[in-house]
Amino acid sequence: MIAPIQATSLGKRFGRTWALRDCSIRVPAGKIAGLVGPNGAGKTTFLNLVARLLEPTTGEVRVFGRSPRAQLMLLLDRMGYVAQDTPLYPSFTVSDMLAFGRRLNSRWDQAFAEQRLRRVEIPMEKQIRHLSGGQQSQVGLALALGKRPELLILDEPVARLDPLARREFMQGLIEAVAEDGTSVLLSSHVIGDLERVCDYLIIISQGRVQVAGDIDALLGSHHLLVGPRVDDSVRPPGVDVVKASHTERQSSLWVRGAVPHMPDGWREEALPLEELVITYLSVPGAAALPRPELEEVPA
Amino acid sequence: MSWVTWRQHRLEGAWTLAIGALLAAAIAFVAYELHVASCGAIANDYCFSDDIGGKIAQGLARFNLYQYGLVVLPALTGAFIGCPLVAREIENGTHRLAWTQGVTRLRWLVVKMTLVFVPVLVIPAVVGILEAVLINQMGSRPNHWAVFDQHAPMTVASTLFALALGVAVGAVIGRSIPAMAVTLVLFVIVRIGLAELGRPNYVAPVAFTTHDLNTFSSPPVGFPDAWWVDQASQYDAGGHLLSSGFKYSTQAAYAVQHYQPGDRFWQFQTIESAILTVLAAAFIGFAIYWVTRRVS
Amino acid sequence: MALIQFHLDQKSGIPFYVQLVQQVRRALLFGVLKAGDRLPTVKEVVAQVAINPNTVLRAYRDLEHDGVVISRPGLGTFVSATPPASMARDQYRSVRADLERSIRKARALGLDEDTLASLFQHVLRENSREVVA
Repeated sequence: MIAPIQATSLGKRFGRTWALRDCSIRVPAGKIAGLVGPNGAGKTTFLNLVARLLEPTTGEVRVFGRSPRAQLMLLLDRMGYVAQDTPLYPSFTVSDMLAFGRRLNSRWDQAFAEQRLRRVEIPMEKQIRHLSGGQQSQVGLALALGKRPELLILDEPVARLDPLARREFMQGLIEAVAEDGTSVLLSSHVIGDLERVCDYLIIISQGRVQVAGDIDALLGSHHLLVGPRVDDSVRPPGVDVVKASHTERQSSLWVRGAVPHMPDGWREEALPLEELVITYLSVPGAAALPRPELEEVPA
Repeated sequence: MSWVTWRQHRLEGAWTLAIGALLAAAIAFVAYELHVASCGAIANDYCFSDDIGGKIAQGLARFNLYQYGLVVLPALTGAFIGCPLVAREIENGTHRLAWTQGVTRLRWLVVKMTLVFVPVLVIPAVVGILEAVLINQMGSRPNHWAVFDQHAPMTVASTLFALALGVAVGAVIGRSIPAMAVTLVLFVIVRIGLAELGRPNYVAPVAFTTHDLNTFSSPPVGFPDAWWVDQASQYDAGGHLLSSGFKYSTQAAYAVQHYQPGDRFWQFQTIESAILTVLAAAFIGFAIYWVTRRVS
Repeated sequence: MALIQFHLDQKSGIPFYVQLVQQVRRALLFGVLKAGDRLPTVKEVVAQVAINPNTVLRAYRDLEHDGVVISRPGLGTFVSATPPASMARDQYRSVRADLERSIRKARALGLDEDTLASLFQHVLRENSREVVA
């Protein structure tokens, strides 16, 4: 199965600032992937590069194996994208927005889009400017889903929503993609949003990818070990130390790898996903990924 | 895409149509009143009858509403219709919506420009024709040069140029209001530049020379439909220039002043319109390049 | 109409699929689910609880592996006719009695409630990891 997103040494510079540097990741098909990182880390830049709104400065990103300029139309038909703050036309009605989607896309499932909006009770004749933030997000999502895309990209879709709207949005999203196995990539700076919903995680910090992998694998391979104070240079065998923190009496080591046995006085503490992410974000130089193999795609 | 363009710009279109219709009606009305004026047409001047229609027409003529309107309108059209075409999408972020649908940016921009510009250009075409009709009501050899910018090919070409400039500037700047300001400034520079520097010289002006300095006036009489492109210059018997700008000098032997004759009017309209159209095409091409290659 | 509803505790540190498995087992325990009943479909679960569909699939697979449920393609996932012995009431009572004994003993030794809870979580986590591995 062709990976929906494959980036190789992807980099983007704005003026003299590098928003993204040397990013190589492969997002596998059929997953709901979460893109997490602090504000300004480069999440939006990455998503815009995938959506072809930006051109890379270095490297390339292939969507469904297609190289940048080739057959842009095919790409846009198979990919749904909702930008940050869900841009819509304020004077359009909801049904106008769906007509917009219908007219500009060759593959359009009007019934599916309408059904999604009916589920969240959004009236078709209301103007976009009179909808709440949560309702606008739902319209943006319906617009992207109406294309029945194979890849759905959402840039901080719930950032501005209240908790109820956030939950409803996620529910709607997952329900819509559960059947088709649509690949999803959504970004957030709130890890809790992603934890329930994602099975693949990408951590971006200061323009670089720190981590990319299945969440189960990440949780399984990372451990927090706590024990008596050791020297900072101590490295347990067979694991990589992501972060070490010491008090007078105690040392905490965040490690990656298989822990064969626990020496005396050491124990393992819980390391939930949110803590894992924060650990990496607090150590900008740490990275946990091998360079992915690039698939060769027939042109 | 056609439906989308119409839906996005229909309000704008309604306004433009209303203003254009109003302007056309005003010009047609003044032309009609001139035509029926019973005071007999005087060369190059207005004369209206005394009834209420004539009075209204006289008021309109006094304010030169239709004349100045026609000079300023292309600039405003370019700013208010051309600039926001792309700039508004960028500043509102809706370009991230529009450019991730199944339509290329090229097609998106070309359809938008075509469906917005072409109907808009009908208005300067109509009012430009009406203006020519109006001028023809004045005297047996009416002077079209005085209203060069208000005639049909020029009104269309200058509006087209303004629109093209607006789209390009809007695409580069990405914000409507600053783009409008820049567009207006650039438009004025180009138009004034062309009118002052280019227009007098598209074809070498004819020199009018007279040795009869007693009856000489500047501009000379007998050329009701000419355009005098410079001040009279006086020369002495040996051909040396004594002064430019008419100042009577006792040593002056003859005076020279240059003009463009009336029968060159339409040729000049064509030339300047063509220049503006080529510039418009260049800016449209640039806008297309910028939108398809550069913008994020 | 789904027979049971799932709830997730994001903060408990217990993987979501494990929580789903536990809730199915508890439902069986308290008689809410009986042999032959159909479990909620993946879509139904996802609509109730915004959770990754693969998580639900994994939970149901685990339950099927343990013989608690049977998956019939196209029809759904059903509680098996003969659920394994760990569902019996007296087994439950026996485990509960053991726990009560341990708690009484710990209190007698002076351990307070929070320390006890923390110890229990720790042992449980380690045990879960051994089971999963």
